[in-house]
Amino acid sequence: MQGVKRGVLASIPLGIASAVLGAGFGVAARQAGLPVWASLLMSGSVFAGAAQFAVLPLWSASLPMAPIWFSTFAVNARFMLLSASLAPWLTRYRGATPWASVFLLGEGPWAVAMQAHAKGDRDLGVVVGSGLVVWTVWMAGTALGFLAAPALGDPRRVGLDLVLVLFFAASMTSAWRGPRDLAPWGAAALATRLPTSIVAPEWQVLVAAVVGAAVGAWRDTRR
Amino acid sequence: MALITYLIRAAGLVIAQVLPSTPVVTAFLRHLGGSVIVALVTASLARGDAAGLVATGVTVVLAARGLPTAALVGGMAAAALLRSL
Repeated sequence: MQGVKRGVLASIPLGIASAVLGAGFGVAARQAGLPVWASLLMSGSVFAGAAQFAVLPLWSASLPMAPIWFSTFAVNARFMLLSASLAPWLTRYRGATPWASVFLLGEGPWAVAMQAHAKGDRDLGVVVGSGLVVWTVWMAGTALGFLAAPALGDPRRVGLDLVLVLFFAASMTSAWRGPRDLAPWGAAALATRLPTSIVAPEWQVLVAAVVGAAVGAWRDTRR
Repeated sequence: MALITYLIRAAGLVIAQVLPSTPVVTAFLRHLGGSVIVALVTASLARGDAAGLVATGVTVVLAARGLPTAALVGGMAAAALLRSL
């Protein structure tokens, strides 16, 4: 329970970012013609911003399920890397706990967990606490955005559209372990610059992260 | 959608457990976290504007000084300022 509390407290900036994004989704879902219950159901059960935005253009009376499922898979495939990178830590817990906690895993709670991990925190509760904060504000944001869609101004004017990337940039800074990170990080950064004819935008993060980790693994294990 | 997304999340745990813990696999998992976050930041910056780039610079500098909240606020303020020009 101590870990849950630490996760909640560490997620306040992230919570603000997620609320803004959730509101953005609520606005977009309303414009795409989703009813309010479907928007909330999607936010609550899928709980993956990028995929939720990605399927909105596909939303129509015929509901093309195959394209919707494929987009969901393509956009969310990178989540595999998030849970894999936390696996050595999560699987020390027995029973259903790790399997339940990964439901709450998105980039935000994952980044909070990484920061805690860097400080020596090995409590699964951090992931759960952070995930609960994000889930709650994501739902509240969706509802608020849906209802208040017409009244909202432009979030770009005050830099609110950048909250999440800035949060990731801050996490990146605290994840830096020294010059030996330079090779894998540089490789990952370069790999995101591959042309979209080779790597489609929704696969960018997944491919780049695998390239970076592979370079790091190769460098560390060669003789 | 919900089921697919959950299965992806769970698959990472399964894969990491099924893989043999050879030095290469361990090193790969050790470098995975940093690589994901670098990829996230560079991919979003490439899609954004110059203000986003400057804002990220401000955030990184402040975060490196151990000021996480100021890093976020400072980055947003820098972007808001640049966009108002």
